[in-house]
Amino acid sequence: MNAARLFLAATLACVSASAAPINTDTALPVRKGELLWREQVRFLKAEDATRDLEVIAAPSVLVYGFTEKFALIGITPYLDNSFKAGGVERGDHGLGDVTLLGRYQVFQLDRPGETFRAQLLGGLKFPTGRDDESESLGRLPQPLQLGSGSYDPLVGGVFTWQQLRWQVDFDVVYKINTEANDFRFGNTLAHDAAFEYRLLPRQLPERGVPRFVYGVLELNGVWAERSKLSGHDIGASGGYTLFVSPGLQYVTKRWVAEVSVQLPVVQELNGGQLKTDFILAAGFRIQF
Amino acid sequence: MQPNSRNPPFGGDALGRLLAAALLASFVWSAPNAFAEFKSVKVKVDGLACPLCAYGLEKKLAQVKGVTEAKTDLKNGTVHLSLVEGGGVNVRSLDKAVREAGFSVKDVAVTALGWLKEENGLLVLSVRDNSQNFLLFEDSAREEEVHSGKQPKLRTEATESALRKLMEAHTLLAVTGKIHDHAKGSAGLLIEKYAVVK
Repeated sequence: MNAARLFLAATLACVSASAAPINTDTALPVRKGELLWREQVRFLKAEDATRDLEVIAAPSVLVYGFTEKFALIGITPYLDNSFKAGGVERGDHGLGDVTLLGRYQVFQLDRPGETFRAQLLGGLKFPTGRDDESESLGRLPQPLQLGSGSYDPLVGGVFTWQQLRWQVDFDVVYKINTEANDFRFGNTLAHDAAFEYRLLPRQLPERGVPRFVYGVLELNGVWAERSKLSGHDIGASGGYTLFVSPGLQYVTKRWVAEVSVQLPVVQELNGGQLKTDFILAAGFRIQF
Repeated sequence: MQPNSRNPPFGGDALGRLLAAALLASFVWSAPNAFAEFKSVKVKVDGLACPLCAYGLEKKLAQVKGVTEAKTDLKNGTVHLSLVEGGGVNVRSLDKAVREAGFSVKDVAVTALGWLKEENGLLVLSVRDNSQNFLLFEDSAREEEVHSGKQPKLRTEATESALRKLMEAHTLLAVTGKIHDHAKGSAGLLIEKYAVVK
């Protein structure tokens, strides 16, 4: 079940709504006064011989540029968790915890058709999702709750190097999970790297702004320390997962449509945790 | 840099001559009461490398007073501005808009209509209805001299002489070139070409 939590930790790293890759943040600018909306649907599947976990997460992201250097980001996920074991299905669906982030640009170097950017980010996840749901079998295990019940700060950094033909992005986000309901999820460190290459048009026209088709290849990793129940480590929690994530993006001046599949290449998980089979992600973003 | 037939200011081919004739005709037709003080403005932007970024930049530039539309050529990072008829645009406002969009201005190229006059002993182009004067330079070397604090020789003697005559005759000129801001005083206009309008 902790795959669901690792999944949500990874979801936080794909909050950016400007010209970003699909599962990695970007340091590209949001103009002053600009509002961007990003919607994504992510589907996780993890199963073994006796257990089956499916999570659908639909994070809605709004980004507002207060200045050309500072943007405020709000994320509200819709979650649908379903865990089956021994013929019993447990889960919940509804809005999860809201996260608010601030992102500040600390470095900018512009050249003709090229830019280097670095940004720092920090924020807080609020306990807005239900965190004490029960059903016929009793209280849902904490990893299946929609919210953690805790206020969790997070900090990170993003770097982007963009040219007309290609773009690379790197991000690192560390999230400090605090205790709630006698339970504390392990802190997480998400790190991502993305390479985008313009497949179409092969040659840019002299005039105007053409639509781009980018091929995207990403590496998305999440490390999580063990969670604690009543102050004691939970053996089957925490670990490291690394995905390789190919994808496609269709980019216009106003909006972006995108699809990606995340395939695990490393899953060093503690205890007998379910291993992720794949994650599918599809979405769009639009600017106003 | 003489505005003569051997060195036509708007190009030497047939299409260029046709465009120049049409442009000059439109100037004469509309002068002196109603004409755009800037016939064209092109903003070259550094750091622009994706379609989504171009939208934000165009939107910011289109909000600048005097600008009706902004259209980007992504390949060379140039934004072409359409202006309100008979109006002008402030150079500093363009720079601010580009910065607020998250990018950097490389240069701003204009074709400006105005008359020559002297300002503190220097020849400037006075753009009507626009409250802007532009110090005229002829090449980047002289521009650098100005910025380094040396006594500048702004133009060649031939151009200086020609411009002085045009100033004395109160001749309306169309001057094309790149402009840049100065902390104090008039902005600079690096002359690429000029043409007599009236």
